[in-house]
Amino acid sequence: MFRSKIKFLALSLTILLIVVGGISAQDAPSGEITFVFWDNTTETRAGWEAHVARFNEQFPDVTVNLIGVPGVAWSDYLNGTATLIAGGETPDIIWVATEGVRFLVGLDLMLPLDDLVAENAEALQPYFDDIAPALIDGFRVDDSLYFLPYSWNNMVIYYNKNMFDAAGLDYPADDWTRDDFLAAAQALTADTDGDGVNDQYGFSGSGGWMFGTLPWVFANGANIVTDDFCGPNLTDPKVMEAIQFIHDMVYEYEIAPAPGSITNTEIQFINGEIAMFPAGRWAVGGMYREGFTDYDIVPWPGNPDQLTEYGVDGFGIFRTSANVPAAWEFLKYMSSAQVQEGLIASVDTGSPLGNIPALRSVAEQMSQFPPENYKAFYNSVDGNARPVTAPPRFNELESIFIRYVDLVLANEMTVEDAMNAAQTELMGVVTCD
Amino acid sequence: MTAPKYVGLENYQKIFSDVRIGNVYLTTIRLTAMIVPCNMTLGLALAVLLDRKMPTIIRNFFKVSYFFPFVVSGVAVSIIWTFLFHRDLGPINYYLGLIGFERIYWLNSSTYSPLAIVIADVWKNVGFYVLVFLGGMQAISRDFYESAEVDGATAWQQFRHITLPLLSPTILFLMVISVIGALQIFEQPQILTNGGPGDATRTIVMYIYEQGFRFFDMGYASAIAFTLFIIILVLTIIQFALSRRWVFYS
Repeated sequence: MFRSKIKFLALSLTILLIVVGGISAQDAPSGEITFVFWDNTTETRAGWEAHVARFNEQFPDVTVNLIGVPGVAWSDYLNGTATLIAGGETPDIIWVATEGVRFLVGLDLMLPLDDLVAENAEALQPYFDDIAPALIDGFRVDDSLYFLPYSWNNMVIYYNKNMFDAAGLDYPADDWTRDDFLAAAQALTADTDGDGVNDQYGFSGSGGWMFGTLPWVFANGANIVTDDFCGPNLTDPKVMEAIQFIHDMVYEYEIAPAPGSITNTEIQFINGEIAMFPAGRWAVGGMYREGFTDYDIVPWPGNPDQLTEYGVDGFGIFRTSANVPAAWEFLKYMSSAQVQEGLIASVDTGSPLGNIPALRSVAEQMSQFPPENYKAFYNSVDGNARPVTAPPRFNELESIFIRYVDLVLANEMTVEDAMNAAQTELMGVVTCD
Repeated sequence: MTAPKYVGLENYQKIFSDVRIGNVYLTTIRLTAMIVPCNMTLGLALAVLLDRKMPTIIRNFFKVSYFFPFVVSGVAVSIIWTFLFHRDLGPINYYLGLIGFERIYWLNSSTYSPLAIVIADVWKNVGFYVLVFLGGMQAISRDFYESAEVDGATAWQQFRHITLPLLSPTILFLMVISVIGALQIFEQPQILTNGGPGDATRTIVMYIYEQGFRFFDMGYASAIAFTLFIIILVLTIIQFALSRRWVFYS
C-alpha cells in the first residue's frame, strides 16, 4: 500500500513535470522498475547494485529497485519469488536460471520476448550470433523466448594437481571414463594418520543437491524424467545404477566421505583433504581469493556418454510489468558484453566471479585465470551437456528426489526401494495432465 | 498461484490418501513424547536445586544462565547446534570419542537425529520451565515446611506431600503449554536436519509449511493445519478434564 502510494506520487509528479515544463515525450525510458534476484551470497546485492549504477550512467531517468529473495536452494528462491508476487508485489524483471524457467512460465508470470526481440532484431543479431544455440533453447518454451541468457554453468570435475602428483597419477584426460575416475579416486583416498579412518578422500560432493547428482545420471545415458517431461523415470535401471554409484562411493569404495562429515568442500580441496569435487565455474573465484592455483578441471567422466549437465541463467520481464520499455532497456543492458565481462573478473576486486559468460567471445577471456583447461567450460555446451531437468514443478521434483537420495546416502534405504517410492510420489508431480 | 476454487472437503479427503502424513504425525508425536517429559522433569529438578538456601546473587546467576537460551533466537541457537553435532568436527562427538564411543551421525541418521532435536529443544526451553516452577515454589508458604519439619518429615516427604501438590496448578499450566509447543516444533528440525533423512525428523508444522509455501497447495496446507488445531484442542481438553483428579487449587 505504502509503496504503491509512493509509486503513484512519483508517477503523478513525473506527469506534472512533463505537462508543466512542456517537455515533449522522449524516447529514453524513465520511471521505476523493480528487479528480483536470488540473494544467496553476501556479495550478490553489491554486484547487482554496481551494474545498476553503470546502467544509470546511460539511463539516468530509470530508477531500479532491487529485491533480493534469500534461499539456499533454487526452489527456495523460486518459492520466495512466487510468494512475493502472490503477496501483491509487481516486480518488472527477474534473474533466473533453467531451474525456474518452466516454473515461472507455467504460472503464466513471464512476458514472451519475441516481439521485443523482433523490433530490435538488427541490434541484437551480434548478441544471438555469439551465444551457443543450446543456451538460447533453454529459455524457449513452446517456441517463445522468455529470457535473454546472461551466464551459465556446466558441471565439471575439479582436481588437485598436487595430490595427483603425490600419488604418482597422470592428470585425467578429457575423454576419461567413470572407471578411470574410480581408479584415480581410490588411489587418492588414504588414512594418513593411521587411525583406521580415512582422512583424505578421492572425491566429495555428489548427492544432497540436484545439480551435483544429475551428471552421474546423464553420463549413464538416462534422465530422471521421461524424454517428454510427462512422467518420472527413476526406476530406469540406468538411473538406479547412477544413484547406486553415488552410494557406493561412500559405503563400498569408501572414496567419498559420508554426508554430514564435510564442512567446506572447497577449503578441504585446497588443503589437500579432497582430491576431486564437482562444480561449475562458480568455484574458481574461491580458489583465486585463497591464492590456490595448483588445480585444473576436466569434463565429467563418461559412462559411456560423455555428457554433463548445464544450467543457464538470464533475465526476463514479468507479464504484469507496468514499465516494459524501461525493463527491456535494462534487460538489454544486462545481457550486453560489457556486463558479462564482469563475470570474467569483478570490476571492483579483479577476482574471477561466478559463472561462464553466455557470449562465447567474452567467455574466451577466461583464459586470463586458472584453470588451464578452461575450454572445458564452454566447449561442453556444443553437444556434451544436457540442461538440468526442470519441469514446471521443479521445486517439488527437487525436494522429493533429494529426500530419497538423502535416505540412500544415509544408508537407510536401498536404491531400489528409494527410487520406487520416489517414483510413486512423483507420479502426480511430473505429469502432462 | 491460481485463484481460489471451491472444492468442498476434497482437501480433507486428500489427508487420508497422503502416504507421508501418517509418518510425519508419528514423528511429531514421538518428539512430543520425548520433549515434554524431559522439559518437565529437568525443569522441576533444576528448580528444586535453585529453591535451596543460597546467596541471592548465585541464585540469580543460575536463573539467568538457564533462562538465557530461551530468549535467544531459535534459529541462531539451532545453527550453533549444527556445529556442535557435526560428525567429524563437533565437540559432542569429540568428547564421546574420548570415552570410547564411535562417531555418531547426529544429524544424518533416523535413529539419532530425533534425539539431537530433543537435546537442542530441551537446552533452549528448559530455562522457561525452571523459572515458572521456581515462581510456583516460592509462592508456597514456608509455614507448611516448618510444621512438616516439626512433625519429622524428610526432605523427600516434604517434596512429595507439600511441594508437588501445591505446585500442581503450575505443573498443569506447563504441561498444557509444553504439549502445544512441542506439537508445533519447527525451527530446530528445520535448521538441524531439514526434516531428514527422508522424513525422519519432519514435523507436522514443517509439513504444513512445505505444502503451503514450497508446493503452494494452500488449501491442503490449511486442511492439515486444521487437523493439528483439532488435535491440540482435544489434547488440551483431556488434560483439563484429567486435572480435576490431581490439581489442587489452594
